[in-house]
Amino acid sequence: MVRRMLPKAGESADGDRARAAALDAERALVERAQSGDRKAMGELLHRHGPALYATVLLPRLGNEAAAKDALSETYAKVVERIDRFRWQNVGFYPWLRTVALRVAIDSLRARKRTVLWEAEDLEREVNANESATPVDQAVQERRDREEAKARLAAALDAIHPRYARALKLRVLEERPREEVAAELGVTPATFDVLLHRATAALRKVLQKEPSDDK
Amino acid sequence: MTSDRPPAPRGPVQPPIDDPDAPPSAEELAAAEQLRLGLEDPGRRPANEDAELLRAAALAHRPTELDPAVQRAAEEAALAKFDKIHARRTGGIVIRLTFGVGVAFAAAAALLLTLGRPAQKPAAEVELVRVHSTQELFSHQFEPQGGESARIDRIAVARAADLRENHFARWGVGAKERDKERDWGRR
Repeated sequence: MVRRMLPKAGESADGDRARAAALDAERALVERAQSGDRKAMGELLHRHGPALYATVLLPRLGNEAAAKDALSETYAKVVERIDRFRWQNVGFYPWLRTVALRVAIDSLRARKRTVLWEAEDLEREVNANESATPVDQAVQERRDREEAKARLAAALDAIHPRYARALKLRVLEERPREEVAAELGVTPATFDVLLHRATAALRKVLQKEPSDDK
Repeated sequence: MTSDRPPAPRGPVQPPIDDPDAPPSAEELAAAEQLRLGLEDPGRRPANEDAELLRAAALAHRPTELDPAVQRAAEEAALAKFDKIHARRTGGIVIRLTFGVGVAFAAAAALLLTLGRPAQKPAAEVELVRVHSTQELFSHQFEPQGGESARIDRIAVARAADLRENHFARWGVGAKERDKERDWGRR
């Protein structure tokens, strides 16, 4: 479970008050960190690290080791640049997320493996963030989760339904190979071939340039 | 000369991805087996790219939580860097402060030396040798003729001594002060 640091905006008058108080507290924490307070810096990293990892880095990099490395790199950049951060009334998370996205871009370029996102997708996202009004952490986390699922759903919709079904059962629902093979009415060996073809179809869809659709 | 054998494929064999029921080739069977092994053992090397793609899809669908030990290690590494950066900045500030304070002290000392130096007494307050007759230089009557040069020389020497004494008096080391110091030395 990813912790929600700030109460949602507009929940209620009490919720708004709690949110304002939480923002004030976070602002004080940021100011202390900017003046060199180690404990405050540690608290900020500790608060937001799990959300950055689970909703920003891991889905985009598609690899746990790469996401952990990227989180460390993000932390390193944050401590280097904390004095450049200027407070906005949506907390510290949006800035932290942008730093993480930039780290993820570098990581994707270095690895050159097919995942759901490409470095160019992230660049577009960072550019869009610069001109968009930042939203608070809870909203952004929800958007990130929905975006990951939507990308996957769109890719599965674009391939043969039998392949999509094989992938959903075996990969997304993590059901055993033999069970999925039985459900699809094939032998396990035939299911292996089916899954291999399904993976090739998925890769082809993900590697398709956005302009290919036009 | 022609051959019945099909030409060797130029690139990797692509599975017939639009036909799930097409019979598999030998390469496809081998690739399917590698995928199965890669999915069953994520640590298998070399890593299977298809298995990695499927794992990425699974992580996007259901991300795993960050291991607290990994998070702690990442935080510690970042905070060690934070300490270094801050120590460097603080060190820089201390050096700049020390230098600044030193410069300020030097400037203040120079100012004190300049402004706080005992002001030279104005000429009016200093006891100077006054213009006086040269008659006391000569105790005998002058001859009607001759001896002018010797007299002029004597007067010039006496006036030069007066002038020098006046300079010393203005600088605070006139005959009186020298006498005082001499008295202190004798005590």
